[in-house]
Amino acid sequence: MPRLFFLNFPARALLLSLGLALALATLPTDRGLAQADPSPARESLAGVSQSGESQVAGSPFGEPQEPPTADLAAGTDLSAPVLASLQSSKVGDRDAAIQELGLDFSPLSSQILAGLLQGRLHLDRASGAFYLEEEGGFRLLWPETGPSTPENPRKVAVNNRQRETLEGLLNSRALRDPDLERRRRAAAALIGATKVDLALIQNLLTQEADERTRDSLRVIVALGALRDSGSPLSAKLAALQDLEGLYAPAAQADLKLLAQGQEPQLAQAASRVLRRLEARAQHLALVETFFFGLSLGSVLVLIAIGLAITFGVMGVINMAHGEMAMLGAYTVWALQTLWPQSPGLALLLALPTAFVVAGLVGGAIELTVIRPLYQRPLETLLATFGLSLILQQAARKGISSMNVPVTTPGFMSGQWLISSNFSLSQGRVIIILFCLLVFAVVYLIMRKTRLGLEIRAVTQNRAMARALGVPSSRVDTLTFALGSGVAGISGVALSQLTNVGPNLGQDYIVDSFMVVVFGGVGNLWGTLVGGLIIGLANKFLEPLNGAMLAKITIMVGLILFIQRHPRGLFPQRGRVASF
Amino acid sequence: MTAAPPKIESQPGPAKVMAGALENSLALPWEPKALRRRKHILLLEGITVSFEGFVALNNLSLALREGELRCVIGPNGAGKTTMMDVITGHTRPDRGEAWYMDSVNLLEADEVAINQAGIGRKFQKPSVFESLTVGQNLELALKARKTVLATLRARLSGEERDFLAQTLTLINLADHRDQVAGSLSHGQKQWLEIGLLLAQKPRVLLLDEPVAGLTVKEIDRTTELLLSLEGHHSLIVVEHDMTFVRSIARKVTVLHQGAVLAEGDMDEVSSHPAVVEAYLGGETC
Amino acid sequence: MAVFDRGLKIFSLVLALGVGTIIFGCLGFERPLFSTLTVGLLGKYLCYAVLALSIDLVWGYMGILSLGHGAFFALGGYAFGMYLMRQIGAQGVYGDAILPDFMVFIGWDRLPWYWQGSEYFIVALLLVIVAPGGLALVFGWTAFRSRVSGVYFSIMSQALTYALLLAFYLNSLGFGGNNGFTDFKSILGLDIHSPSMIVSLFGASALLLWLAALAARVLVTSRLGLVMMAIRDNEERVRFAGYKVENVKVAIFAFSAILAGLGGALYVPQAGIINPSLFAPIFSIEMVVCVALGGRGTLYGAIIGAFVVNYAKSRLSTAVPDLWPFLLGALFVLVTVFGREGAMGFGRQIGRQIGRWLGGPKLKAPEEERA
Repeated sequence: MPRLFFLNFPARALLLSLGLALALATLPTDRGLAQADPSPARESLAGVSQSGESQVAGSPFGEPQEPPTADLAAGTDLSAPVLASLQSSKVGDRDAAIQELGLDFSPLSSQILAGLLQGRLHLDRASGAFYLEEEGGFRLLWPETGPSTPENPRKVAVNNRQRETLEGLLNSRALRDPDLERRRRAAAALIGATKVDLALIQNLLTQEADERTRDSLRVIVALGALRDSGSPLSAKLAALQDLEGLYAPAAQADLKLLAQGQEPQLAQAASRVLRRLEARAQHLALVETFFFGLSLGSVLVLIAIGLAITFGVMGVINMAHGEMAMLGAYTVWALQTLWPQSPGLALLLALPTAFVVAGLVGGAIELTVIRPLYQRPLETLLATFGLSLILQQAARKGISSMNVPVTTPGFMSGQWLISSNFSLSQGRVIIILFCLLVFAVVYLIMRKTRLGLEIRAVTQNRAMARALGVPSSRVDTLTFALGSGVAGISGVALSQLTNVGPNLGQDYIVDSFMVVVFGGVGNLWGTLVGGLIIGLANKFLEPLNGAMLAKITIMVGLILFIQRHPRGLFPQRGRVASF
Repeated sequence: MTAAPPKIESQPGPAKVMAGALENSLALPWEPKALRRRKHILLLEGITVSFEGFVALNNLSLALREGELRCVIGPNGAGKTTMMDVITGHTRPDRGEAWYMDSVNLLEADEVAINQAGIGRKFQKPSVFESLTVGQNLELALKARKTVLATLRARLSGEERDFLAQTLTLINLADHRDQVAGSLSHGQKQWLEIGLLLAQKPRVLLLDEPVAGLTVKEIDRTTELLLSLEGHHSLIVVEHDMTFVRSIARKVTVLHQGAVLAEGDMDEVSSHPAVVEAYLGGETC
Repeated sequence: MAVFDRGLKIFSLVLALGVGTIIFGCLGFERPLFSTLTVGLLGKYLCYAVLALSIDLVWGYMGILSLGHGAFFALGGYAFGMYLMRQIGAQGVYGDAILPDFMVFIGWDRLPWYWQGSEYFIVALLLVIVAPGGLALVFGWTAFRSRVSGVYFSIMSQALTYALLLAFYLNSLGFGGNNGFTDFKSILGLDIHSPSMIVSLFGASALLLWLAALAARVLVTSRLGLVMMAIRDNEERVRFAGYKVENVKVAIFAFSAILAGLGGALYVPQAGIINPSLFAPIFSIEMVVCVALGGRGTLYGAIIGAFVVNYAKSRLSTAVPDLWPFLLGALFVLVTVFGREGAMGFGRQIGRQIGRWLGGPKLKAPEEERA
C-alpha cells in the first residue's frame, strides 16, 4: 500500500541514519587512542550558555585515573621511613620517597600519590600524620590511629617535575590494576606522558591480554623508539610500521617532525603513517559531528514533540510551551533539593512528576485562556505569550532570578567507551534514546489509544466527532495537557544539558516552532525527522563559520524553505492542516 | 503587476448562438478539437484529477455554449466541486485540456487571470465579505483594473453607481445596501454572492449549490434570477435540489464517480437507466 | 467614508494642541515648563505610535499578524543610526574621523562597502526607506506568494526578527554588535542635545505620526482599503473577485514596514541609542499588544494603545519592576480574551450609551456618512 509506505519512509530514513551512525562509530575503533573534544558545544539554536561536558574519551594529557578507593587494608607494609622522608624539607628526600612509594603497590601508597598529585595530601606537623583533604574535612591516612582532624595541617607541595613523575607512576600502577576499564584508560593516558618507563611498559606488554590496552602500550613503545635518538634506523622503521596499524593522534607531532627530517626512508614512512592518521582523524571528527548533531536534534525534537501535539494536532499556538519545559526542569531541581542524597533517583522521579505538573498547568491554561479563543489562533498566540511572561516572572520571584543548581547524576555524566579511541558522553546517548522513547510513546498514544483516536477525530471533524459522542471539549483539555506534560518531560531532559533558570523556555520557543513547521504541521514523523535534520545541519555548519553564524544560517534557511514549502517536509494532505 | 486580461474579441451574437445550438445537436465525436474549441465558451476534455490514489475526476469532458444554462447534478463525491476547481484554476488536473473562449488555457492561467478573463464562481458555502456592507461588497467586485495602484485610486463613477443599483435590485438587496454583510440572512448571502459575480460582469458563471439552505420563497426568487441571466451569461449550476433543477434546466449533465454519466434534458436524464442505477442503486447498497 | 472623518479631525486637533503646548512650553518661557527629558520621552512614544499604526494596517485591516514588525523599526533606526555615527566624526573616543569607534575597537581599518555614503543625510533617508521596505518586499513576496498565512506567517516573521537579532549581535556584521550605536553628537552638524534640536525631533515625530495616520486613512478609505478588509474576511473570495491578493498583501506590508522604519529612524536620535534589543521578538509582540489594547482596525486605537502601554511601561517598570512583567502578561491575556475590540470599541460603546441616555440622535454609523 502506497500510503503505508509513505508513513514508513521517515521511520526508515531514521533507522538508516542511526544505523549509519553506529556503523561509522564502530568502524574506526579497533586501534589507537582518544581524541580531544573539539568544541564544548551548546545545545540549542537559541541561546546563551551550555555546560561544555561534551568530551570524547579521557582528556589528552596526563590526568591519571583515580586510584582504587577500596578500603585501606590494615597493616600495610609501608615502612615508616619512607613516609618520614616524605616529610623532609629536602626536595631530594621527597623525590626518593615518591620513587619508593611508586614501587609499593598497596592502596595506601596509591592514595598518597594521588593525594600528592591533586594537592590534597596534608601533613600534620605536630603528629607527623598524613591526612587527605576531602569535601567537608580531612581523613586520616597514616598512621592507622590518630586524631580524626589535624591540628596544624599543611599541604605537601610538589613541583612540576614531581608532578610528572607522579602521573607516570600512577598510570603505570593503574596498568596493573585488575579492572580492565582502568587499565585501558591508564594505558591511553600514558601515551601523552613525557616520562615513561619503557622497560616497564615492555614488560607489561608481554603480560597484558587485552587488545585495546596492548594497542595503547604498543603506541607508547613505538613512540619511545622514535624519540630515542640512540635507537637504530631499523628500530625506528619498525616502530613506524607498528604505528601505521595503530591509530595514534598523539604521534602526530613526532610524525610531522620525522616527515620533514633528513633521513629519506624514515621521512617517507612517517608521512605515509601521517596521511593515514589524518584520514582517520577526519573520519572520527565526522562521526563526532554526527553524534553532536543527533544530540542537538534530539533535544529539539524532545521540546517540539509537545508542540507537535498542541500546535500540530490541535492548531493551538502555545507560546508558553517553553515555560512548560521550564516547569519540568524546575521539578528536577525541586526533587533534588528534597532528596539531595540521591540525585539520580530524584531525576527519575522527576519524569512522572514533571509530566503531571506541566500537564496540570497546561490543562488549566486550556480551560481558562485557550478555550475562549479557539476560533482565533492569533489571539491565542498573544494570550499565551502573556502567560509565558507571567510564568517566567513567577519563576524569577518565586524561586530565583538566577539559575538553580541541578545535579547531573553519575549515570548521566560518564563516558560511554565504544572503543579505546572513541567514546560518547553517556548523558547525550541517554537523551537521544530518551527522545526516541518519548516519541514512540507519544506516537503510540496518538495511534493506538482511545484518547489518540478521539484527538484525531476531533481535529479532523469536530462536529462529526461530537455527533458520535466524543466529548470534544474534554478531549481538547486532555490533548493540551498531554502536550504540556510532554513538554514538562522534555524540561527534565533539558535540565541535564543546560542551565535551569527562568529563561530556559524562552531560549527554545522559536526553535521548536520552526521544527514543527519545518517537519510539517500535524505530522509527528515530520517533527522527529525535521528536528534531527536541523540538529545535524547546525552541527555540520558550526565548524565552517562559528556557532552563531550557523544558527543564523539555519534560521534563514528554514524561513526560506518554509516559504517555498509552507507545509513542511512531510505535508499533511487534505483540509485538516490548512488554517 | 497583474497579467492583462486576454482580449475578448468577436463576441458571438444571439443569432450565432442559435446556430451554435443547432450545430451542437449534430456534434460528432470525431469533430476536430480546434473547431469544438471555437464553438464553445468553455470546453473541458478528458480531465482527470486524482488525490493520492482517489480519482475525483475521470476523463471528464464537458462543453458549454455561449449563453447556455447548464445544470450539473450527481451524488456526493461525483466530482462536481472538483470540476469547478479545475475550471477556476484552483486545482490542476493530471491530464486533459480546459479552454475558455478558444483563447484562454485554463490549465495554465492562475485563479486571478481566469477570473479577470470572465469566469466567476460562487462557492458552495456562501462566502461574502462579512465585515463590509453589501454595497462595499459589490463595489470591490466591480469589473475594473484590479492592480494595487489602480485599486487605490479607484472611485465610483456615475455609471458604476447605476450599475451597482441595478445589481442590488436584481439580487433583491436594494434595501440592504448599507447593511453589514455578516448580518444578512443565509439566503441573502447567497444572493449577495451571486451579486458579487454579476458585478464582475463575467461571461461564465459557476454556481455551486445556489439554493442550498434556502426557503421555498427564496428558491423561487433565485430561479427567477438565474433564468433572467440566461442568454446574457453562460451558467453552470451545480445543485442537489431536483425540483429547482427541473425548474431551470434546459440541459442537465449527470456526473458520477468523476465522469459524465448522462447528458440531456431533465426527462431524458431522469429516465436514463444508468442514472437511475447510480442514484437508486447507490442508495440501496 | 471620507478621509477626514470625525476621528481624524479629533486626532489632528488633539495632536496639534498637544504638540503646540509642548513646543510653546519648551521654547516660549525663560524656564521651560517641560524638561527636555520629558519631551524626548514623548517623542519616543510618538515613534512607537507610528510603529503601532503600521502594525494595525497589516493586522487590523488585513488580518496578517506580523510578530516581526519591530525588525523594520529597528532597521530604520540602524539606517539612520549609521548617519548619526558618521556625524560623530573625530569627536569619538578614538578620534578617527571616518571610522566609528566600534570599528576601530574591533580593529577594522576602513569602512565596509555598505557604510559607503552613510555620511550624507539624504543617503541616510533613502536607506531608512529602502532597508525596511526592501526586506519587507522580499520577505512578504516569498511568504505571500507561497500562501504562507495565519499563524504560519506570524511564526515566520518572528523567526525573521529572531535571526536578525542573532545577526546584529555579531560584531563582524559591522553594526556595533551587542552595544549597537550610541554617543551621538549631532544631526546635520547641529548639536543633538540642544533643547531646540530635541523639540524639533519631537515635532518631526508628531508630524510623521500625523502624516502616517493621514496616509493610513487615505489607504483604508480607498477601494484598496475595502480589498484589505475583504482579504481579512475571506482571502480566497478576493482572489475569485479578480484581485491578486499576494500583490495587495506585499504592497501593504512593505508600506507598513516603511512607516515602521521611519518611526525607528526618528526614534534613534531621541533615544540616544540603538542596539539589537529592538530585534527581540518581545518588543514586536509588545507593540502588537498595544494595538490589541487600543482596538485593532481603528488606527487611532493603535496610537492610544502605544501611548498607554509605553507610558505604563516606563512608569511601572521603574516603580514596581518586579510587578511589571506580571502586569504586562496579564494585559496580554485580558486584552485578547476579554477585550476583543480594545479601548476604541469600549469607547464607542460608552459613547453610544451616553447618546442613549441623553436621548439625542443616534450616532451615525460610519457607512451612513458616505452617501
